[in-house]
Order: sequence, then structure tokens, then C-alpha cells
Amino acid sequence: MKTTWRLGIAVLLLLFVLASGVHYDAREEHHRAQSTAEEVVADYDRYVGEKALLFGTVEAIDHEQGTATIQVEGSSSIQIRVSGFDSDVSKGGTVQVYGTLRPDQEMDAEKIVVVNQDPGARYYKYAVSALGALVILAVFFRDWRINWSKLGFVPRGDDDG
Amino acid sequence: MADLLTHVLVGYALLTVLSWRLDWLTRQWIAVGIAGVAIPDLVKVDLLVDADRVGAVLDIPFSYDPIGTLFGVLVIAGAIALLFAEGRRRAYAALVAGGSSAVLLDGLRLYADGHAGFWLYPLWWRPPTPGWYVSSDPRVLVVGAVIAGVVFALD
Repeated sequence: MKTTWRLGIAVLLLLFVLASGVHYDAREEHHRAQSTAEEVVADYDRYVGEKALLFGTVEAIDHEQGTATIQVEGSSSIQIRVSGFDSDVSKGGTVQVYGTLRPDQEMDAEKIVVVNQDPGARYYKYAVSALGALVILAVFFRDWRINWSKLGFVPRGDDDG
Repeated sequence: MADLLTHVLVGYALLTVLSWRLDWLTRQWIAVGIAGVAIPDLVKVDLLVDADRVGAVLDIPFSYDPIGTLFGVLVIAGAIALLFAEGRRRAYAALVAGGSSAVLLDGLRLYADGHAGFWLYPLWWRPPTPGWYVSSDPRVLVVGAVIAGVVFALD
């Protein structure tokens, strides 16, 4: 296949995936059984009484009362006071909360998943993932190199340098 | 999603086991498969170019989420395979194997309502998840390392 065609089609495929992102975002809320963060942040009162699955950052936590205040991001952000909060998480951690939305931006949690127990957990993920990226580059370029005249990856030890 | 290093370890294990059956899957092609493992992680481009900002500027709905689905792997693997001067079919097969292993592994994460994301997009179905882990749990990496270690020893 001619190089220009190869690279042209590669670019088109990437654009296709990005274009699917438009379709995905346009249709996602329609297909979710519960309200999404976007919907809830944009118009909270409309979803009172409904179930929601929200991701939020813990702003404050009261272990005695079993409540926490989380910040939920959409196109802007809101704070929601969650009751039935029994999880071991610090301020700055991230949680998923599944439950029912109540008036005045309160929420009754049925289930909470701690995504990041504290900000350190997020940095752990980034650091380990960065290490993973380095491993991938090292492993790949151990056996492959870029041939600039062919504009493509070729195995190392290829005779035509 | 699970951290990228765990994906690499699990992807390496899977590809090495496959290589016991597939003669063409030599070390250099396993390396391509390991690179494919990173495809779903490309959703993290959101940290550099925020999807909400792109959508606001272009006045369109926009999300990077399809990148983390099986559909995203199939298409992006196609784009990457085209960057190979030769052996593009093998590159595609290896990239898809690696990328799919990462999507499947992500599908096992814990969600508060018991269902994963739409990783089978364009099927609008959130498959149930056994909820085996959260990505920030260091034990995930340990399990990945043990699996990779066992396979390495058996290879």
C-alpha cells in the first residue's frame, strides 16, 4: 500500500473515533438507567426522587453522623451532602455514590465505592501508569524502530538500515 | 481503569500464553501486543485536552469514552497497524489482542451499581461486573506481577 494512502487512512480512522465521541456523548444519557452527573449538576431539582450514580470528590466527612459532602463535576459543579456514608475515605479522595437524590442537594446512599481513598491514591495511579508507559516504550523499541524513508515501523535488524 | 503497568503485566501474560499456540507470535509481535494494551488508556488524553472544553468551543457534544471501548480498540488498532511498513495484519491482530485484554480487565472493576461502563459501544449495554477491584488498590499490581511472573517462568 502506498505510504500516503496508509497514513491518510490511519488519520481518517483516528478522526472516526473522535467523531464517534460526538455520537457517544449525545446519546449516552438516554441509555443510562440512572441520572448522570451532567444532568444532575445542570438541573438538580428535576431529578429529586430519582436514583443516580455519581462520582465526586470528598470535601468534608463526618464519621459520627455518617455523612459526607462531595463535589460533583458536570459542566459546572455542585456539592451534595450524602447520608449513609460509611466508607473509609479522606478529604480529597474520590468516591462513587449510588443512591436516591433528595431535596436541597442531599442524597441517600445505597452503595459507596471508594475510587481513591485520598489524593495520594490518585498520584499512585498516575505514577504507576507512567511507569507502565515507559515499560511499553522500552519493550516496543527493543524490537522495532522507525524507518523514516518508508515512514513506518520495521523490525530491528532489518537489512536496509 | 486498572493502572497501565498492571495492564502491561496481564497483557504480557496473555500474549505469551497465546504464543505457545501461535508460531508467528514471536517476541517482536508480543511487543506490539503490549503496545496495544495502552490503547484504551488513550482516554487519558482528556487530561491534556479536556473533552468538555472541546465540546464547548465547537458547540457539540463530545467525549473520549469510545476510545476505552472494544470498538475504540478495533479502530485505533487499525490506525496503528497502518504505521507498520510490513506485517500489518499481524500487527493488527497483536494490537487488538493487547487492547482487548485491557478493556476486559477494566470491565471487572467495582461500580456502585454493579454495572461497568459501555465498553461494548455501540451496543448501549453496561455489562454486569464482578467488581473485583478499584484501580487505586496496590494489590491489583501485585496480582498482575504474580500472573506475569508465573507465565514468564513457564515460558
